[in-house]
Amino acid sequence: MSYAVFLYTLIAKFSNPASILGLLFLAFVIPVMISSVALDGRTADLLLSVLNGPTIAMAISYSFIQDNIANTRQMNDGEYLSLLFSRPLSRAEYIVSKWLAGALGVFCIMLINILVFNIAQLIQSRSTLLGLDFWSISSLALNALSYAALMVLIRSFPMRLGMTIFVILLYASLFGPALNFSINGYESSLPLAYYFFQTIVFISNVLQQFVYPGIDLYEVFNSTRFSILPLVAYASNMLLYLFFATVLLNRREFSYGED
Amino acid sequence: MSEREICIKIANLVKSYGRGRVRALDDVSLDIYEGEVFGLIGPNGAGKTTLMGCLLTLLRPNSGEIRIFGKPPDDLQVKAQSAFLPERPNFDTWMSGYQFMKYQHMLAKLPGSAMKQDIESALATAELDPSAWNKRIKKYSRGMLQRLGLAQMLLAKPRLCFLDEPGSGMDPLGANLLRNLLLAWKKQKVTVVLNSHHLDELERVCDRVAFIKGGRIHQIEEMSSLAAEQLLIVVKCSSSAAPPPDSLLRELAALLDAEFLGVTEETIRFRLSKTADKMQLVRLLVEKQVPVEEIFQERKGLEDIFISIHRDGDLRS
Amino acid sequence: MAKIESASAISTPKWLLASTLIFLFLRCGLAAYENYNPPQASDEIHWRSPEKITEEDRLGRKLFFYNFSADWCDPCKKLDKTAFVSKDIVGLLERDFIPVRVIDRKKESGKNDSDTQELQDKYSVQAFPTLVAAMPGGVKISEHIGSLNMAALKKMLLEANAVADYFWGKEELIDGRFAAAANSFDSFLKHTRWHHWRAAFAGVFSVLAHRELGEEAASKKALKDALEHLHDPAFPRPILLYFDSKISYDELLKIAGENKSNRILCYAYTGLDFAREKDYERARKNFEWVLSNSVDKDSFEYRICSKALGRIESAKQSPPGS
Repeated sequence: MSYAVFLYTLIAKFSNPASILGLLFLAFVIPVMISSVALDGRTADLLLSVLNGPTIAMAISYSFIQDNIANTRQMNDGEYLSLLFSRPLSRAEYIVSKWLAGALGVFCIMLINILVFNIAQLIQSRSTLLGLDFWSISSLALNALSYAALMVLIRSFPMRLGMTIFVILLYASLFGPALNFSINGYESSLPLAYYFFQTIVFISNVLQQFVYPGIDLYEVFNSTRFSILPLVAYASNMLLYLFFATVLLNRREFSYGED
Repeated sequence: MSEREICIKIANLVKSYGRGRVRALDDVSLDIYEGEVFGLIGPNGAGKTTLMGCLLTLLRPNSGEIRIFGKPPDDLQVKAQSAFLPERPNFDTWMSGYQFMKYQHMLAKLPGSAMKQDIESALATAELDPSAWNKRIKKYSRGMLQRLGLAQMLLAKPRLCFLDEPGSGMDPLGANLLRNLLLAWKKQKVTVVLNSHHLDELERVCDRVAFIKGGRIHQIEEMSSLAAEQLLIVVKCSSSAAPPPDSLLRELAALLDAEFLGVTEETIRFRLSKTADKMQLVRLLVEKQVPVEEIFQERKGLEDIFISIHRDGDLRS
Repeated sequence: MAKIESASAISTPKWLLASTLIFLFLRCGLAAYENYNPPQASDEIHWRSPEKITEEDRLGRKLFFYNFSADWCDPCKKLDKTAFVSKDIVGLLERDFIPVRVIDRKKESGKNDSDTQELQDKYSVQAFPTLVAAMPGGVKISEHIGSLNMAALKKMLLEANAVADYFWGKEELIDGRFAAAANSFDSFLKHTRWHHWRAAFAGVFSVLAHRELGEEAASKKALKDALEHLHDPAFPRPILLYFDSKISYDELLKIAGENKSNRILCYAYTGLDFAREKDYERARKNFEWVLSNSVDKDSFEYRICSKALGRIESAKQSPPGS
């Protein structure tokens, strides 16, 4: 792990006003917004699942793991990395450092999210509060690590491809909680729409199971049918992301200049 | 030459793009010795950037072998001993110059206790004004960015330096600084590999120059022999007096065991066999009352070789 | 620089490759194994089917928890695998609830049996899964459509438990069991935040119950607590002000205005107070107004007024002193 890359990835987030504003928005504004709007049970559940679930975690970690932190905003960050990798820094070290920096950032911001949300709820005398007990904080830490790993992988793809995949995953994460019931008799009235619906739900479920690396420790340890499979799947997902990210970065070629 | 250590050994390097359709490097073999300044020159698309990319492990060759200090180029120890200046380096504009140097110092895994000293000496050698050290890189002028680029190379006290088009866009002061740096490196026996379009720059600093075209090395010139080989002396005569007769000039040449190449307008050309003869020639010309207005050594330089290779290439292809 | 090891910058570290492969292998192996040998449940929910519900259950103290599902419904299966396998939830359901699984068979057999259909109609079930927590008498406490995770389900059950006291209290008030009603409301208020809309009504009911019991001090305290914590000027706060003699009866009616539901509240609760003070004429007038103007015959106000009216009639018929 390269302490330099880890440290400067974090410092870079506070380096310019736009970035700081982005952080403030993610950390403070979003939970307050959700708190003001989440009035009744159903909306509250939906919005809380956004706050607690993959969506915000992915958005935060995506913004933390940057390659090119120069202001030139190029789509090809090769020129920046070519100087970086002339140093005695292995690509695996680079990946691990970015991962840990991203995880720390996500953890802190999501913790702030929960605190701010609870404070906003209490101020508005609402009763729905998000838990800050041992289970939820440990789950938060583990989720921070795995979402950061997923984002490191996505950032290892060529920029445009990675961005497309990120957007797809983000939208799909919102679909999951919204479509978790079956309506009676729906399929007979609008068969095409129904099958389209079901396809989206199916894709969302597959992504939920194999891609989104979230884990809920309370659910695992409170289950009457205890199984270590969720924990093993969690670790396996995370390692797979880091492995592929490393392989991709190892194989990546940095072309620059006219040749 | 054989007693010299080989710093970089390149053997049968092939790098192709587009499923083998385009060969950017076509069976390149090359040895670069320790302590020499080695230049790579060629037209656009010749493969010089590709070659440097392979040496820096920024590109992966399809076949062939590279050994730097006897190790593969991706070895961390090799990287620890080398430095790189890209053509258009992308710095972290939000950092100050000093912060950037700290970052690079940490990346180079140098001991923290020597950080301040290393950074300040590197910045001083690169002639970056101390008042600029704490300014944001965003506010740096072109010249300051070039100096910062050179400074980051100096941090790890490298044994091997890669410079990609170092002269591009450099002001005369910067070019002078670079030249001095190269001379200092030569004294310290640091190996330097550089790409350039600027032929006169290469002529002045390089020990050897390789001409690359179409992914192949066409020629490697030893600059010392190039300079020496050509002892072409040009004598410009005064237009007011009559030019001396050819016979006299041939006689003069014979005395020095040199070659009389002829007269064009008021310009006389001789080819001498040794450098020491230059002084003798001047004395003889004065003795024979040749109306000399100007006398200089003409260098058949890299430009000529470059053009001839290019032309040959065109004829061949 | 001496501490830099000779290692490749572009190769995948062995530890990463090894651990990735090991965990992948473990994961696939475990998944395959658990496919054929699913882990044993340490505790199971003993679901009842609708026809197995007895009269005893309906008169008991345990709440009903209905799980409306269907065999073809995937989110229902998900719910079974995720939320219902929680130790806490199994414990809660067994202790405080009667868990009933209502399976819809319309797709497979064309129609449902009568018990199932009745329940679906009663709770207006449209989608699956629908989870309903209800009083044994049938009054719905809360419902949730769609699957949820363990924590959310646990919250639903705990809230249902807390709210049950409120509902028990209302039933007890209707039946005239004022001591039990007072207990229930006080217990509810102890566990609920005052901003909850039910707390306001619980405050009113607590005052009524204590007054019926003749407990002046307790009713005064309940009144004081309610007024202190309820800041929303909407109903039922004006009723509390009237009980506290801060406003007159006519002023109360003026505040209610033409709003039918507010008037129902006024007439019902003041009617109970009049009945207690033995001002039967005014009480009866109020109750009759409520009975004729109520749309929902199952509403609390309708039921309590009709019961109270019945009590007035029998009180009038039997001689005083008995």
